[in-house]
Amino acid sequence: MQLPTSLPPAAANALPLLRTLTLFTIAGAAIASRLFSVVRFESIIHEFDPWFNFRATKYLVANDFYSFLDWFDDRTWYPLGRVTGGTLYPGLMVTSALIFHGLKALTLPVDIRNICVMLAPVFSGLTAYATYLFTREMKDHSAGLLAAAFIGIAPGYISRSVAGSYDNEAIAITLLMFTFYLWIKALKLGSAFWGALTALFYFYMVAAWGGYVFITNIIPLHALVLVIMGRYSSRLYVAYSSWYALGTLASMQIPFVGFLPIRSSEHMGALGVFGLLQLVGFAVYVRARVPSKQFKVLVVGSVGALVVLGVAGIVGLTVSGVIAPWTGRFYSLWDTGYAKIHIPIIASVSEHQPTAWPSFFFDTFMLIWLFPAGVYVVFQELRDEHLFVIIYGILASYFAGVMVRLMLTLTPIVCVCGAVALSNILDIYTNLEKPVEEEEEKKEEKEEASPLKKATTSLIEDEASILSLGSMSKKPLIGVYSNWARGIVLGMFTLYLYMFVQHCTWVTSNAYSSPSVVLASQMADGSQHIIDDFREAYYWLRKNTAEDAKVMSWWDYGYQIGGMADRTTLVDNNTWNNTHIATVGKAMSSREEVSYPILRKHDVDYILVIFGGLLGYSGDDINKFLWMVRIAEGIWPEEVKERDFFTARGEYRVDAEATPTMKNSLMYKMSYYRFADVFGRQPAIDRVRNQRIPSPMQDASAAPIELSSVEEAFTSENWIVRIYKVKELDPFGREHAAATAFESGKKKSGARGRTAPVGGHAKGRARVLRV
Amino acid sequence: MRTIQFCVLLLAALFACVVSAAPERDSTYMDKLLKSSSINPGLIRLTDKNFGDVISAPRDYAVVVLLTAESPSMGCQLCRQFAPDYHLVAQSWSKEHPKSGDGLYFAVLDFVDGQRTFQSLGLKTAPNVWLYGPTVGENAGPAAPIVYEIHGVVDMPGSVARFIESHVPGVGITIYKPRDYSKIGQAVTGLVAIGLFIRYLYPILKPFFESRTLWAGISLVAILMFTSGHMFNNIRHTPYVAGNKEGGVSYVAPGFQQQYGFETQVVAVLYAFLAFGAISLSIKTPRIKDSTRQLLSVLTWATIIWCLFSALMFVFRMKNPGYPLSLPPMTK
Repeated sequence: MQLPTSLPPAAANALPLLRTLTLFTIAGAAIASRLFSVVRFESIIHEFDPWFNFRATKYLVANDFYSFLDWFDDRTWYPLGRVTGGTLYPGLMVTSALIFHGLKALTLPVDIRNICVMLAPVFSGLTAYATYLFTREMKDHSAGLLAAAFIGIAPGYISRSVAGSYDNEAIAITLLMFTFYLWIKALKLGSAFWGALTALFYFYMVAAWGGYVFITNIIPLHALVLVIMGRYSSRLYVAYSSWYALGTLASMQIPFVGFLPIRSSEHMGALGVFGLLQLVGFAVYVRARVPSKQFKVLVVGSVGALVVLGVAGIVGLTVSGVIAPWTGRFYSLWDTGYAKIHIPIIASVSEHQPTAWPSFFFDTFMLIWLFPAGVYVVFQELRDEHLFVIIYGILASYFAGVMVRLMLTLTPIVCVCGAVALSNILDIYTNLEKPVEEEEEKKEEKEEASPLKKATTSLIEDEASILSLGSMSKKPLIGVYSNWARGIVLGMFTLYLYMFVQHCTWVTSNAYSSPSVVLASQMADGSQHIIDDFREAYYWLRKNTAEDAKVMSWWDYGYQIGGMADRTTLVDNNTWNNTHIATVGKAMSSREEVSYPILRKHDVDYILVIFGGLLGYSGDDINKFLWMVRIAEGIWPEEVKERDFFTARGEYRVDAEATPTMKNSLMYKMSYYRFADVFGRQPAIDRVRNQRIPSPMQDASAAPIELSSVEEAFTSENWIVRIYKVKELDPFGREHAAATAFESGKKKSGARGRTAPVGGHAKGRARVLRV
Repeated sequence: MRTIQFCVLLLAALFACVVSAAPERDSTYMDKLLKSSSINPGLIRLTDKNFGDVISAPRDYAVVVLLTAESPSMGCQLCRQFAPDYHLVAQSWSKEHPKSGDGLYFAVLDFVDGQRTFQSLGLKTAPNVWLYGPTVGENAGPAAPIVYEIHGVVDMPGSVARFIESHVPGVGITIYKPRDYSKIGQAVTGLVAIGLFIRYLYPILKPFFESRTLWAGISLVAILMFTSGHMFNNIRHTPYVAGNKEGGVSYVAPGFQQQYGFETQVVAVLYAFLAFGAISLSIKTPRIKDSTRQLLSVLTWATIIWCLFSALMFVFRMKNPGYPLSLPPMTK
C-alpha cells in the first residue's frame, strides 16, 4: 500500500540525525512551555497534594529509605497520626531523592525544592520520547515524531505537569507510555526479555501512582480480545505470562499495594486472563498432538470443568470476603450514581466531577476530531498492536467523560491517534510523485461534451458512499494528481498545526500555570499584582505559634499547613478517615457551644479559615461549606442538617436572610467576624456571593457578630486567611459566652484602667489587620 | 339502690385506677395487632379506630407510624416512592424479631383509612414518619412524637433506620435487602438466550460480527459520544435546552462547566464530519482514479473541514468568551 518515496537517498541517510534533533527540540519545547509559572512567580511548589509530596521527599532526603518506609507521621490526623510510609506511593519521592543524590555525587548540589519543581517538566520530555516510540510501533517514524510533538505541548497533559506541580501524575504518564510501548514490543517480538522490561516499568508505575490499575486492566483486555478474535499466538503467551508473573510479584513489594493484586477485584481480570491463556496454550499444545475427534471431547470436558471451577472459586472467595470488594473511587467509575450516595468525600472533589465537552476541546484542540479519524485509520490495517490503540481509545474516552482528572490518561492516546491520522494525510500529500493517469485519454475522448458535469455527478455518488469507506480502502492507492490539491490540504493543516501551538500556549499560560498558592490579579493599569496571603498566613503560623500547636482547618489546606507552616493538623488531603473529617465539618457547622467541646477534645489551638469575600476569591470556605455540612450530616444526621442552611425558599444565603443555623455556625461567624467594620458606613458586600452582610453601623437592628470561645489571632492582608485562637477554659468556670458578656458589660461601665482577665495566654500581639 | 350503684361505680373507678397504673397498652396488645392486621411482614395497618389506642400515652413500646396517602387518586408521588423503603425497614426488623416486635413496631395509616385522624392531627401533607417513643420503662421519654425529615435524604432505608436507632435506645436495625429473584431470572434467561443465539443464529450473523466496518462504526460512535460530553449529560441529567430570561430558548449553556443536551449533539455531529473529512482526505481521495474528480473531492472536503472547524471554534467561544483563536467565516 506504500507509495514510492520521493526522498533522495542522500537525505535518507541524514534522517536518523534529523530525528534525534527533532526529538531533542520537542523535549526542549515540552519543558519550556511548562515554565510559565516559574518565570511569572518563582520556583514554588503548587497547589495541595504536591506540598505533601514535597514534605515526604524532604523526609526521605534527610533520612534513609527504610526509615522512610517505616515513617509514622504524628503531625497529621491528630490525634490518630498516619502510617505515612505504608500508605503512599513512594515512586515520586524516590525518583527525586535519587536525582538529588546523583547530582550530589557529581558535585552538583541542587536544592531539593528545585529538583521537585523541575521534575514534572523534565519527565514530560521523556514522555514525548516514549510516545514517539509507541507511535512508531503503530505506524512509522513520522507519525511518532508528530505524536511526540503533540504530547509535548498538549494542554491535557500540561495541566498536570507544569513546573511546581510535583504530583504522582508528573512521572506516571511517562511510565504509562513506556509500559505500553514495552508491552507492544514484547507482544510483537514474543520476547520474555521485553516482557520482563514491561514488568519492570509496570513495577515503577505501581510504585508511582494509584492509576496503575488502568494498565492492570487494559493489557489483559487487549490479550482477551486477541484470544477472542482467534489471534492467540505463542508470542502473546510469552509476552503476557512474563509480564503478569513478574509484574504482579514486583508490584506486591510496594507496602501500600501489598496483597491487593491477588485479593482485590480490580486485579482479578489480569489473573483471569492469565489463567485463560494457560488453558488456551495448553489446548493448542494438545491439539497438535491428539487426533481431532478425541481432542474435541478432551477440550469440552476439561476446559469446561476448569472454567466452572474457576468461576465458582472466584465467586466463593468474593462471598466469603477473602477477595476485597471494589474500592470506592474505582467503583464510582462504573456506577456513576454510587459516589454521590455513599462517599460524599469523593463526590466533593472537583476533579472527580464529570467532564463537560468544552474541556475535551480545551485540552486537545483539533486532535479531538483527528482522534476518531486516527482510530479509523488503524482499523484499516488492524494489526495486533492496533487493537491496543482502539481499546485504549474507547476506554480512556469513557473514563475521561466520567471524571475530569482522567483527561490525563486520554490525552496520550488522543495524541497518538491524531498523529497517525495527520501523518497519513501528510504522507500522501507531501509525496511529489505524480501518478500516471491510465484511462485519461480514453475518458477525454468520451466525455469531451461536459467533463465537469460528469465529474460532479460521480463525485456526488462517491460522497453518498461515504459510509462504505471500508470498500474504498480495498482499491489501490493511486496518489495525488494536482499540485493545487497538495497545496490546499497541506496549507490548511499547516495552519491548523500553527493554531494548535497558539492554542496550547494560550491555554497553558492562562489556565494551567497558576500555583494557586500565590494568586495574581491585574491592577487597573494592567500591571500584575501578586496576592500572597496564603504564604503570609502560613509563615505567621510558623513563626508565632508553639511548635506543637494543633491547627484545625478544612481538609483541603491540611497538606499546605503541614508543608509550609510545619504545624500539626487534624485532617488533610489524604482523606482516609471520613469520620475525622466529619468531626471537623461538625465543629465548623455547629454553634459555638457545640463546637467548643469538640475543639477541646481534639486539643485544637488554632482554627484556620479561608475567606474570599473581601477580595472576591471564590474558592473559599463558605463556598465549600455545604460539603462540610453534608459530610458531617453523613455521620450525625440528627445534629447537622443540610436543610437548615438553606432559607425557606431553598437559597444559600449569607446576608440578612441567612438562616439562624447558618448565622450561628462557627464557620459563618469566623468568616464574617468584623467584616462589616471594614466598610464603615458603606454597605458590606461579600464580593464572591454578591450579598450584603448585615452591618450594625448601617442597620441598628443588626447585631455585630460576636465570638466568645475563640478569638481572632491573625488575618492576612486581603483577608483570605483568617486564623483564630481557641480560648482556654474560663478560670472562673464560666461559660465563654457569659464571660464575654460580662467583660464587655464592664467595659461599657467605664472600667478602662483594668485589663480584662484573659485565659492564660498573651493576646493582641498577633493581630495584624491591614485594611 | 343508689348506694349500691354508687359503690359499683366507685369500685369500677378504683379498678380502672389500678389497671391504668400498669401500662394500659403494652407490647402484647401490639403483638396481637401485628398478627391480626399486618399487611406486609412486620407492618401494622392502622385505621381511625385503633390509631388512638396504639399511640395512647402510657406505653412501654416504641411505634413508628407512616402517615401516608398511597392511593392513586390522591396523586402523592412521594408517598408511593417512599413506601417500599419503609416496608424494607419494617421487614428487616421483623426478620430479626419474627414472633413479636420486641418493643418496636412499624405501622402505617393511609389517608383512606384515617381521614379523621389526619384531620385531628391537622396534617395537610403526606407522607409523614412519626416516631412515638416509650413513655414508661427504662427508656421512657415524652409522649409526643418525633418527626422524621423525609425531604432531601439519600439512601432512604438506611437513613430511616439510623433515625430510629438514634431515638430509641438499644435498638439496632440491620437492613436486609430482599434478593431480587426477578433479576436472577432475567440473568438466567439472558444467558440461555445468548447460548441459543450463538448455537443457531451465529452462523448466519457471522459476517456481521467479523465485519471490520461494523466494529469501526461502533468504536467511532462510542468515542464521539464520550468525547462530546455524553457521560456528563448522563450523570447530571442536563436538560436538552433551557429557557432564557427573554422568554426564548437558549441552546448553549453559559459557562465552561455547563452544557445542555442539544449542544453536545451539535458538537458530536461537528466532530463526526470533521473526522470523516480527515478520513476521506487520507483514505478516499488518493484512491480516485480521475484527476478532475479527485481535485473536486479534495476541494469539497477541505472546504467542509475549514467551515466546520470554524463553526466548532465559534461554539467554543460561546462557552469561553475570552478565547482568542478563530477562523473565518465565523469569526464573530
